[in-house]
Amino acid sequence: MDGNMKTVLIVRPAPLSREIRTAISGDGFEVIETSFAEGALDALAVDAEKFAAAIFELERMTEDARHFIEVCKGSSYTKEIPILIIADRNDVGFQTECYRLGVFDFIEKDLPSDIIRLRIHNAIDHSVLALTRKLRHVRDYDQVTNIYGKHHFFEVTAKMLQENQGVDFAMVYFNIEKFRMLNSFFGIEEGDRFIRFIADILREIGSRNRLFTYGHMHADIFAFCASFMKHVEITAIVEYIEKELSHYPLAFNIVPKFGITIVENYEEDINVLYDEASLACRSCADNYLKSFAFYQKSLGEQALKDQYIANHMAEALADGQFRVYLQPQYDIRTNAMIGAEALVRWKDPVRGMISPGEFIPAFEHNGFITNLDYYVWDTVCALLRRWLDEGRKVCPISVNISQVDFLNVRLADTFIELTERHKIPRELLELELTESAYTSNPVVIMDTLSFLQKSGFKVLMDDFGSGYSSLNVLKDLPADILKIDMRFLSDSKIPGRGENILASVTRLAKWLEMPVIAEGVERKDQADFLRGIGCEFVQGYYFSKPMPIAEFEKLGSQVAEREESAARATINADSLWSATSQIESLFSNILQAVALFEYDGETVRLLRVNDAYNKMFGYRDVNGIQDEALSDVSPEDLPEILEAFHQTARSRGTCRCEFRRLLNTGSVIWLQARLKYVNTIGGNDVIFVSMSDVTQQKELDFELQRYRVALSGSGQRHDTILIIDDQEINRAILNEIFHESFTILEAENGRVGMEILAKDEGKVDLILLDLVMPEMDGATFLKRVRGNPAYAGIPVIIITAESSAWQQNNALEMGARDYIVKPFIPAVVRQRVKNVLESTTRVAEQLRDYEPEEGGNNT
Amino acid sequence: MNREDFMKYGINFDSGVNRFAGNEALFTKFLKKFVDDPTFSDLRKAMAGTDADEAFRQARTLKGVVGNLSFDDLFEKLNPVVEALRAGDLDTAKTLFPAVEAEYERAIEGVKQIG
Repeated sequence: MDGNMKTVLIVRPAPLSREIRTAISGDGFEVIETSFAEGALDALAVDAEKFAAAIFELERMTEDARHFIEVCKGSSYTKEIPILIIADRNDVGFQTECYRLGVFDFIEKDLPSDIIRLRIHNAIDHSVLALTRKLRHVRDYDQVTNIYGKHHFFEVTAKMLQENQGVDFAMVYFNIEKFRMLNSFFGIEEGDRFIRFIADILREIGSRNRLFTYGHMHADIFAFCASFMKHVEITAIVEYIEKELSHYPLAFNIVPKFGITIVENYEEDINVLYDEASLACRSCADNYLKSFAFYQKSLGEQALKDQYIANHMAEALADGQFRVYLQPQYDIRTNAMIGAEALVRWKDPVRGMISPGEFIPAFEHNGFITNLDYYVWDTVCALLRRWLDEGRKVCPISVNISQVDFLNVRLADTFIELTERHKIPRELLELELTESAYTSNPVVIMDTLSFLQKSGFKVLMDDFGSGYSSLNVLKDLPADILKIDMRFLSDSKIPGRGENILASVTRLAKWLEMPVIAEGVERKDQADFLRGIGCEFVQGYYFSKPMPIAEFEKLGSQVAEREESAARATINADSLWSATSQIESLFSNILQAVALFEYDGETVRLLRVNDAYNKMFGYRDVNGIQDEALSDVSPEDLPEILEAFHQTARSRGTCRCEFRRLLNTGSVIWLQARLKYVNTIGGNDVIFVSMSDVTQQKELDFELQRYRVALSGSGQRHDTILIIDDQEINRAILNEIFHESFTILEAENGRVGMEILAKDEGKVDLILLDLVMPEMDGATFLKRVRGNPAYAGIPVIIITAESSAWQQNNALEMGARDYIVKPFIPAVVRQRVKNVLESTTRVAEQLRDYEPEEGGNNT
Repeated sequence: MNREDFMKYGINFDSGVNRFAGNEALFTKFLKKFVDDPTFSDLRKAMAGTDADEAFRQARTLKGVVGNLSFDDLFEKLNPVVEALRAGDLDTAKTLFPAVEAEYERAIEGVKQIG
């Protein structure tokens, strides 16, 4: 709830019972107590924003009370604060008068304290005031972190800049490298917790700095705008954030990247500043050496360096200042060399060795990288030709392709031309592309790589884990070999966790028949570990540094073939069934819920699941659920899932779908399933499925959808009520109460109710729903209605004979907006219906203010 | 029959009419229908058995009807039975049930006077 709304005004003389006071203050509300004489109205008027409700006990109408209610309701500042009166339930005349004056609701005095508490809560939560404020909050604040979202951050930042012209400001954009990896390894919940942790750091910095705005933009992206006297103050903030992040207790190497731009024009569109900062951030992404960068125009040190590089690069290339170095790759079992990666070094006559971390990003930025890459490819091809001529035993050499190279539409021809010109077998020239590049321009890159693969080149996916591919889309990417950087998980704070992940990746890769090369191996223990998990191919300082060609040639003769891994041969289809196989540990080590299914064209059988799957669904083990693989799936979603299985089996590819599933605990979650064809055994298709819980996201979508539905219907008058109750007398009474002002539709159970909704789509404005009914009870009906976006915006009020707070609360939790208790009291029934309809209208009005265009598109 | 007559049979005429939004005819129509309403006999059957849950369901249904018809005295006697059954205590409910039956007979007798 909005931080402002934390106070309840209680008006004496009659002091509230201790139970009520405890209930209110126990829920975090502050209580201000006053009397009509002491200026209850003033208290309210002075600081209206902070009040969630005004409550007083009243036996009969008094002058003071009437005056209070009238003034309160007559002022635009206070009219939306709900007034609750605690009174004797039987005085119908008095209640009617109160309602007429604008009292929100009554709390009957003789009710148990937990029900009193519930009614207070319902009033506070559903009053127009709360909804208005909540909506404002949703717009202004990010829902995960509770700090400003992008829109509001831009607003307050623009205001700050305008009001403080002459002060120096910097806009900083930052994100977390491989954040998606974190999400997929540890789950979205853990990801959200981490995001909140970042928000807390910003909040804390904000509390110490006066001119400082900040917000959560999206996913792992944050931004802040800070004033400064010297540049180092900005980098100090950046370093402080880095330091705080490094303390985060998660077995994941958290690498933030910052982009900084200096504000020069106080009237500048914040979008421009934001883009500049994000460009600067991108300039240091995928670079181990740099955690932040200034936007070029601010002419920081970086810009000067880049300028030097740009001025000298062409000359350096012509001069032969760029040298190709080779770093050998070994088979860890035999210590035989199986290949090498070609790297580039720049020896500048003035500045000496310039680090690739400095010039590669600069070249990628200015496009010169294509020249340098071609130079390396050509050099390597020439080298391979010479070795062949000299009769050496030759191993494949891998060269790097940059994302920018794909701008050349004839890239594939270039490689073919090179290998033909130098007359070298294509399999000797291996091509490395970083995983992140795969996602940058998918169509072009996928097509080119597939073509190169077909032409006989081997493609290596470099820095696996730095990009977004989840493990199970791996098979569909055009890559023959995976390269994983050991540095990726080396900073694990939980011993063994990083290793487990690496082991899982290795096993899955093997299962996909993809060799893995571990690079960045620097210590003996890492080498031993890799040997242990069956990762045979290694590259790194522990084995050999990158070295000039002449030095490399001296290593000479120990070159061996890159053999098929032994473990790979042992993974066959049968092992999928065995609980002791490697698949078992593969399954156990993946933190995402995964399962293997068998599909015979009609039915789906569960073969194996991992621990994460059991944890998600609350099963203790797989036994006993074999034949009911989809029994807990929501019936409405079943056809879609079967279709997904069908598709996957037919295309022998992948497919994804979303569905609802009932948990053992009785709650329903939304799942996103990614299906992947594995193989076919005995006429049945084996399909690998990974699932992630997307409930939160769905609920948010759903909430928006509901608002939009409410919005689209808001132009009409509220005039139709659907009454669903199996007892004629209840329907008759409600009909009698409402028939003068509303059109009444009646249904004797939930099933008939659904039929009426389907028939009169868009017509029903409110549903009064009994819970205990034959055929389809109220709970089932409510679930169906809430599950269908077309009806979900229709408010529901529950009719219940139950006076227990638990039951009533349960109704509210199921998504009902309020409840009425039998026997009916017409004044109460009318008021609750009025409250619900009014707040629905107001929500729609608020929404119209906030998203006029979307609203317009929906009507 | 006037409101005092109804009161003699434990029926709160004013609150009943008010509940039916002032429609006296509709209220008395439903009062009369109650004579043939199976809810009470269903409860009586359940009370003779051993299934406390079933008895609870029936008692709760009856409570809703009785409350809406403003059978105040019957409602008052029925409430403790509902609560006992909610707790699964069929034995206590059985000891309380004769008082409910007596009130029921009295209410029916009153309804039959309406004519």
